[in-house]
Amino acid sequence: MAITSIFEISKQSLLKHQAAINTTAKNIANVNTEGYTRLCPDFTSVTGLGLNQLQQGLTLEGAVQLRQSFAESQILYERQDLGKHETAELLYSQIEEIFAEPSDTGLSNVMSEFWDSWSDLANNPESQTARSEVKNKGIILARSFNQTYTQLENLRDNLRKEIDIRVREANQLITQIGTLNSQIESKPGFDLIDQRNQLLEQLAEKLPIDVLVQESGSVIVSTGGLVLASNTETHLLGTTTTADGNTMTSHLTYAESGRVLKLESGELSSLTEIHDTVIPEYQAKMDQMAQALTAQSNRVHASGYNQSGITGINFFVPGIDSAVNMAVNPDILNNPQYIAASASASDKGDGSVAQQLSDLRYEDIVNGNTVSEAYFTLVGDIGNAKQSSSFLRLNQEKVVQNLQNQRDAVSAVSLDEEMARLIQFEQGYNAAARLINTVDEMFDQVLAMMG
Amino acid sequence: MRVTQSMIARNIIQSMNQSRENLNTLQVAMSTGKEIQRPSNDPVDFTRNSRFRTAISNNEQYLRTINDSEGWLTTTTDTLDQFYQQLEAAKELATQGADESNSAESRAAMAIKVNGIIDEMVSLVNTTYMDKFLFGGTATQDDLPFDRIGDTISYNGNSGNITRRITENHSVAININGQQLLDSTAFTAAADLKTALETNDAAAVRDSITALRSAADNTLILLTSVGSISNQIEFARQRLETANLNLTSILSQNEDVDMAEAITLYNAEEISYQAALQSASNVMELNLMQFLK
Repeated sequence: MAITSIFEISKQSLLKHQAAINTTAKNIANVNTEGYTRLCPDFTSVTGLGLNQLQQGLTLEGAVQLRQSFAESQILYERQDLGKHETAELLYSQIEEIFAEPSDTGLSNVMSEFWDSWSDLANNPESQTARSEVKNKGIILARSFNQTYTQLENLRDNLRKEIDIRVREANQLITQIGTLNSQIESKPGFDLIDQRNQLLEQLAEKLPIDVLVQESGSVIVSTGGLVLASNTETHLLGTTTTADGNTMTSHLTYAESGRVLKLESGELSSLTEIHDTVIPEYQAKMDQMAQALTAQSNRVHASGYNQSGITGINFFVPGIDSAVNMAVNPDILNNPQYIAASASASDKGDGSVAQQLSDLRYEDIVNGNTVSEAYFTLVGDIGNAKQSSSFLRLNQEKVVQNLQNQRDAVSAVSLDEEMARLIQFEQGYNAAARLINTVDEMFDQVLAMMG
Repeated sequence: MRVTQSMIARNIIQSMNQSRENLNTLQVAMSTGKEIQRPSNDPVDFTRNSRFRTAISNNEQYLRTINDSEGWLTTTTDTLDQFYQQLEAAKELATQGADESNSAESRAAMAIKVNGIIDEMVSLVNTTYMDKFLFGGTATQDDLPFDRIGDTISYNGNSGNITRRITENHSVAININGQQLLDSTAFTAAADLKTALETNDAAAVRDSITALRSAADNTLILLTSVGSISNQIEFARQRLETANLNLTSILSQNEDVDMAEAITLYNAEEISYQAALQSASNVMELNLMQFLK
């Protein structure tokens, strides 16, 4: 064995340790980079580091990337549910605020005041003051219905815009993933893979995706069996709306074929579900209540007589198809004296019709329920939906956090560890340098012997 | 397990957020005094409490009705009482006038007094309460219920009932109508007495004593019936007030914050929050670099 080979080994050792310190420097520099996967110096040609099976390594640039692939793919999956519940919670709490119960301005209180005003009129059927009070409470009741319905409709309009924005974001992500795919194939790099993983996580929050890693390093991203991005192609998402009567339904589509996607999770699934079914259902219930109130109040009111003996007047505008159109009859708005309270033209002191109207509060006029019972059920349902989505969101956050911790236990940077490694590598470097020194002295010795 | 900076930071942030959220919930509950801010805080309790609130508000409306009815009934009682007094006064005059020792002149003088009594009676039965005739039936605001032309009293009202809903299933008629007053024969008895005195007919005056007595009895019966309506209403008021007291206290139990409990929870949460902050700052400072030269 020639002395010069020791030179060669020492030189390699120097370079290896220098590379290792370089890797450590990179790890420290990225300690706070979201999605960064730590690198481990590749000493395999000198000695094995004993990576366990979970830590699948990719050797590049003289270093190994330490990944926790199992946790990573689970994070992708769980993020879909997190996105779904987070969005649902947010939307339900907005809906809950629209109804603003319990409060003085909530519909239940407004309804109570409406019934009470009729009861006051029943006690004073001759009074014009009581009549104008009935008129005012009627206006407030109708407006409250209009407003609640309109606010729900506005929320829906915003949701449609929101869906478009999210789809655009998703399309951007899909395009970027496609680009990264081809870059990784032609010139693999750790940073590109980290970046792509970040994008995949973002995409998973929006819609359910399946990710398949290829031999070549690129990934095939698909949703419901339809490919969104692969190494060679990307396919974007689109939206269409179909009108069904007054209701606009928003669909998420596979842009090329126009095929409608049914989503089970992800932000987009909550957005479309609440837009397509939840809000229209609440609106339909508001419609039912408004229609029942209108029809029943009119029925009772038209049977009564006012102080001048006029009868057959509707209190509300009849035949409305939606809560948004509920309104007090313009004749009554202009002439509150048209408000009827008595059961016959001559019985001016009789308030029995006004009393009957006030008693409608006890009558089962909305699908076998009183109006307020139907209303409380509706608001209670909304509260339930909000509560359960909050609960699921909180749970899901913990699941994702736990998985992130599992992933980070393998792949995130620990400063203590890097510092320890730094000293370790520095000493290795020093030792290699000393070795060269020693070989040098050995040469001197040999040369002196020749002397 | 290998613990990295990112895991420590994530856990610290998560637990701080959790503590802050809990503190916020408790703080809002304490500052508003209400456990339930929105239906989602407790959907079941929300629905139940809403029913209670509706029941309370309905009962309050009945109490308003009852207050209003009580005024009406009190005025009715007072008026009928005075009406009865007038009949008594007429009976007194009849007893005097029946005495054989009376001359035609003194009977004529008594007739003038009786005439005044009849006027007073008519004016009483035209009494209003809050601009409404008490005894006109449901004709509460048109012409006067009673007119006197000569000795004939005519009734312009009707026999309609003024009913008030005093509880969910119970309505009562609170008025005595003019027809009932006519039927009590008070006016005819008084008019007969006046005629008998004017014509100096001692036998007829004697007859009118009996007639006036039975008219006074009839008026007492009317007074008693008003009293029984008042009792019903008073009973309903007590029932409603008790019901509302109970409902309010149940509602408060369901919905109001137990301050002692809330403050205890708040303190406990605050301590754990402070501990989290303290330990977080310690852990984050702790690393190998402090021990390397």
